[in-house]
Amino acid sequence: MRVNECESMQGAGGDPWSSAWERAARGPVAVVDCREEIPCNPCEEACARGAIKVGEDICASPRFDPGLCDGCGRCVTLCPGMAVFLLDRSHGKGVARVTVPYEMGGELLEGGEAWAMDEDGNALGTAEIVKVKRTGGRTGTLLVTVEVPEGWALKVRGVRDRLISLEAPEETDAEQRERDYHLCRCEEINVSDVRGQAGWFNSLRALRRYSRAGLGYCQGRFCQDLLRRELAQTLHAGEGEVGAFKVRPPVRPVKLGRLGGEDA
Amino acid sequence: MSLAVEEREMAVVGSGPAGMCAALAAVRAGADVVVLDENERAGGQLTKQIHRFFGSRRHGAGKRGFEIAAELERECRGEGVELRLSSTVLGFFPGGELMVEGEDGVYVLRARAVVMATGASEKSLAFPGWTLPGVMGAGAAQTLVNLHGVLPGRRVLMVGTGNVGLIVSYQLLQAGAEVVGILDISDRVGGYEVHYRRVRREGVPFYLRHRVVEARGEEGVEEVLVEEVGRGRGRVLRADAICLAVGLSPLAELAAMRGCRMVYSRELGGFLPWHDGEMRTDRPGTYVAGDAAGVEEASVAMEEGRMAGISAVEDLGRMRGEEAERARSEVRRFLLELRGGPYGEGKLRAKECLYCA
Amino acid sequence: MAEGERVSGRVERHAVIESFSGGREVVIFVDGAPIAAREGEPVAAALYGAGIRVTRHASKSGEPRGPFCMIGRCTECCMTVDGARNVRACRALVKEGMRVETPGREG
Ligand SMILES: Cc1cc2nc3c(=O)[nH]c(=O)nc-3n(C[C@H](O)[C@H](O)[C@H](O)COP(=O)(O)OP(=O)(O)OC[C@H]3O[C@@H](n4cnc5c(N)ncnc54)[C@H](O)[C@@H]3O)c2cc1C
Ligand code: SF4
Ligand code: SF4
Ligand code: FES
Repeated sequence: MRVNECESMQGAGGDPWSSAWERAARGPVAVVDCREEIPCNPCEEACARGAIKVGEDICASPRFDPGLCDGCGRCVTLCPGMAVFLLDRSHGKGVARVTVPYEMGGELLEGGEAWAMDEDGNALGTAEIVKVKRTGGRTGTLLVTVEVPEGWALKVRGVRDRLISLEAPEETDAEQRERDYHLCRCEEINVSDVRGQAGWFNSLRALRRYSRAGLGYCQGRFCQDLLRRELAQTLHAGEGEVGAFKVRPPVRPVKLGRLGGEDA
Repeated sequence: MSLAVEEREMAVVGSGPAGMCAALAAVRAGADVVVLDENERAGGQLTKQIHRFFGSRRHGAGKRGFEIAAELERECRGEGVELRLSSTVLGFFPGGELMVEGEDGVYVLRARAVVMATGASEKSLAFPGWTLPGVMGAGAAQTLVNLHGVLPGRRVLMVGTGNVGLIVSYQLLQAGAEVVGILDISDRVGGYEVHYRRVRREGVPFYLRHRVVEARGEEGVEEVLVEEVGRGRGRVLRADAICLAVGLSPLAELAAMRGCRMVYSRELGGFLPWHDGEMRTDRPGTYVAGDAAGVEEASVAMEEGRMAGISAVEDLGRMRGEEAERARSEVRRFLLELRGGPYGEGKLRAKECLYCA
Repeated sequence: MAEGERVSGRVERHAVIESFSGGREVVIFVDGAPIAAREGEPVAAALYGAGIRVTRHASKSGEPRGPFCMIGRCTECCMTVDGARNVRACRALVKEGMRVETPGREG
């Protein structure tokens, strides 16, 4: 993850949430919380009012003009990163409304309650669901609007119908005992065998012939990368240098009899 | 052994975004095109993807993967591309013939142009216990939940914080599983920040700088010992499934069999057939596109597919040189844009290196 | 895993997916015991849906193995289906009354 921190696209401070704050006093406004340079631009297309611009260079991060935004929420629906929200402070003192995209299976109903989650998945508390908007058919994204105390307004990033336990289990001493294991699943060749033999060979093909790793049913499709890594490490060589298995037809297991009696 | 032989002008192996776009470009120039895919649905990776695709809106981004697949399929059928599904290409011989296993048996297909758009395969990670039931590729977990409505486990540990690991974790949550953690040996998340954040806000713990020491269980995974690298301290996670999302490599077995010169590129996922900027390999009438030509993204796969299709119809004599060049320069421009930015840089350099190798 | 706690199982509701591969509910037999399955879904999916993860035992060590790729490439799911050996359970589709056997320690 490389975060492009140097530049703000939304105004002072660079935090799209705080810079939406003033505008949100007049009604819902988008918060485009996407700062990395990734090849992505559905948000630009979503906005009929031209408030979001990515431009010719698709890897540029989106620039947002709150003055043009009417809070319609189309960008919230269409952003694949689920990184666009709406903030609305026009519903009275001390409260704010936050709209988030929702694609989980929970049943969230208007008038009901949901857990408001912060960006690290901590529950801020429960909040009233003031609006649930279904966009586009049964499989569309839900836009869920919750009303929260103003103090949470900049923190809410998601909603959940139930909480899961976040607790990581207690730390223990990791056992140092290294167990042996198969590298080649089909022929049941152990990593210790391969390590023991790897030094004698300078190519993956030779290692396969001798150790029989990679000669099983799957034809090495799952152990080839693993063997290559082991061999390259042993030889202090690049993975490209130790080569690849020779490929023979058929490249998939075929039913007996279909290929002149040969079962691969 | 004598097999039935079918003659066609052009064949495309793989019906993912790359294959379908190659076929569309060619059929629009008047070529006769058949697309072969071992799957019973057209669309490749897209059929399993239920999230809205990131990427460029020109390439359907903002829609869900399976919706993009359905649109491409409709377009192909509408334009007269033959989509031959449940047809596995078993071999690609130095003479250029394809050996195909269809629903009624094995036959040979001889085409004057062949585009290999076979996509990528998942890499594995081995550790004590990785052969236990419940340990599977992230793609396998996706197949189970998204296509068949079956959970790979109730409590899943995801290995790998690239986009695939992040996106599949989110999909597991959507299906009602718990993701007990996402682990990576690296000290930073590999995928896009937006994907990281939408998983993180659901409360999923991230174990960075961690490795799997071993998976334990009798008839399948019951718990996993993970360790913070270099600290000798670990945690036992209760989990009944471990999904491996540790990278993809180009699925290039057919190219190797055909005798294409193979090159290794770490950045692009491993061994792949050498190709030029117009998607020609070093064998006549043989082209490659999409993840099979280096693991990238769907938008790129579509453009590479188009490029391969254009080059093929030019070589087949169905498109004049200048016209082909005009079409290709447009594709080139899009590819350059898509490979901009910090994530694309490495791929761009690797591709450029390859073109002149 | 606590006694009686089920691993895997079926997706109960989903916000984005309208339907899955399987059709009507049928019964198939796994090592003689009946399980509920959906017609037309892969056998391996039906097994997972019923909480069964083991598809074979490795021929040398006898260790249990289960589906690894779900797309017909790894061969970890090779089972005996209606008498035919080495059938990939992730590719074979459920038919009513199908009999599936888990290859044992003898292979
Ligand atoms: C979890 C996940 C999420 C992703 N999300 C995004 C995203 O949001 N945006 C984005 O741009 N990209 C995304 N991608 C990447 C994108 O899906 C791939 O880059 C793209 O699908 C590659 O297209 P392709 O046509 O090259 O290959 P594929 O889509 O993999 O298609 C290859 C086809 O070839 C067939 N095939 C292979 N071998 C044979 C054979 N021997 N005989 C017959 N048929 C064969 C396969 O069955 C398959 O259908 C994602 C990938 C994954 C795994
Ligand atoms: S909320 Fe509507 S008007 Fe505002 S940026 Fe999004 S799409 Fe444009
Ligand atoms: S659509 Fe979302 S993830 Fe993509 S650039 Fe726009 S805000 Fe960022
Ligand atoms: S699970 Fe890999 S072949 Fe069936």
